[in-house]
Amino acid sequence: MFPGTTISDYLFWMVLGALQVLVVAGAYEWLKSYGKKVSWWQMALMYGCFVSTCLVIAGGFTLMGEYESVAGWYFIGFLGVPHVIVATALVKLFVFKKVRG
Amino acid sequence: MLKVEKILVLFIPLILVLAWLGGENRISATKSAQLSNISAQIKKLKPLGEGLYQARAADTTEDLYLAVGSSPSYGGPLEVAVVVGQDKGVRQVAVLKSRDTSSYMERVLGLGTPGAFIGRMIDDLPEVDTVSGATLSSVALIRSIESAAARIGTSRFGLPQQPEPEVTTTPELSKLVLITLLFGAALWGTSRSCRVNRRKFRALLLVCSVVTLGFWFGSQFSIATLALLLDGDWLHGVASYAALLCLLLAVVSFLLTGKNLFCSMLCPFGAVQEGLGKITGCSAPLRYRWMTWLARTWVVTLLAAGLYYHAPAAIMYEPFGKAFTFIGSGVVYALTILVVIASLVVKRPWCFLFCPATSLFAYLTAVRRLFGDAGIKQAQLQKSEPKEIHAS
Repeated sequence: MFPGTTISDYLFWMVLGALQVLVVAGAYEWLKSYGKKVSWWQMALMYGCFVSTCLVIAGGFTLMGEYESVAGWYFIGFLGVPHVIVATALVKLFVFKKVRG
Repeated sequence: MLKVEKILVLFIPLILVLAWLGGENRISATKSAQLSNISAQIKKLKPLGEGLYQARAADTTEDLYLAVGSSPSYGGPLEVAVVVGQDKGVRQVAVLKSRDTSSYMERVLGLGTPGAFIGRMIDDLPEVDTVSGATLSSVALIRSIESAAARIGTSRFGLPQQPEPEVTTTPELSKLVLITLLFGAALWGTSRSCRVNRRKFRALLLVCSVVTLGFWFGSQFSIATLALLLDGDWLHGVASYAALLCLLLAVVSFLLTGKNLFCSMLCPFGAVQEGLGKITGCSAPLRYRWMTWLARTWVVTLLAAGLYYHAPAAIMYEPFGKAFTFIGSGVVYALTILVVIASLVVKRPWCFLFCPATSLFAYLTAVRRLFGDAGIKQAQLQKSEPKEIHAS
């Protein structure tokens, strides 16, 4: 990320990791403002899917960086599409669920 | 029925026939030029018999023999030319005609299958392995080369006639039987005699179709199958008749019963889209009149091009191959992803907006209307056809 530096890389990833707390907390608040109630394990599953999607994108672009552009696009396509489908299903099940009664 | 539709019903076959005739004329005019252009090393091409020519090497003035051999492949007959010298050595191998999907052929040619024969004697040809993932195309290529070499060997060098290579057993018959059974089940599922829960039965049939027609056989028919059927080259043999049978059964059942069995009950790609749409519960996209006519014009133009160039596989643009059997170009790959993602937003986007089968069945409906079938079940078609919106 920061070639030639000793500590910037570590600081960058630590800050980015800490920001994930804001991602989850922000998502909770956002859903609350729309009157949606999501339990902790449901949020954990959705966040897991988000992290996994990020890893797929990172993996694809790493391949591109290694001059394997075709493999990179296929990696993103064939792993990314199931992630999008699973994420949609999770949101449908946990956020837009039918309220009983 | 609109007057313009009546005219088009008669006009479209005329366009396609003219395109096919133009293509035939083009091929016969360019055949000898094509053979002469196989290599700059060949000159003074002179026919000796059917599919057999004599030529002169440009640099050594050696007499050469050129033979054309063909074998049924995935999309129709695959034709190659083989050039052999006086020493019975293979000098050149060139693919003259292939109707297979280009990515299959690229795989076979990229792995150097023809190159394995160059320099070898025609009475001692190598046992070349087939290419995994393009088995039918590579088998057809190898057999075509062997057939052309055998033609030269028997007629010019007095070699004994080789027995016809044994046809490898493929599950072709079981495929055809299973496809017929699927159509039979679909017909029964839409008939009055069906007493089971129709929604569940349809869902079950769609799942079976995804597994068999989609992933297992990879035999969903496409615009290339329609072009192949109209082209008539399948009469010379194709390696698999599964997609053709699918198309024939879909058309015949529609013409006889007015029911679009394939799109509504059997289409694997439609089933995948519908399944994804169930996650979000999305509705069908709006389709304006201009969209309908644009799609129809696109299909007729592609069909005419496919018939003129006698290249059905080249006009295929559907994402079925990439979705189920991982075959297709990068553009098709991008299209497949777009359609799959779009299926979460609108119901069956490919079927309603882009699929050539929609245009085909719209045409067949017009044919049925024109030739006066009193029993047309318009309601059934309207169920499977997207609602058209007249732009005001």
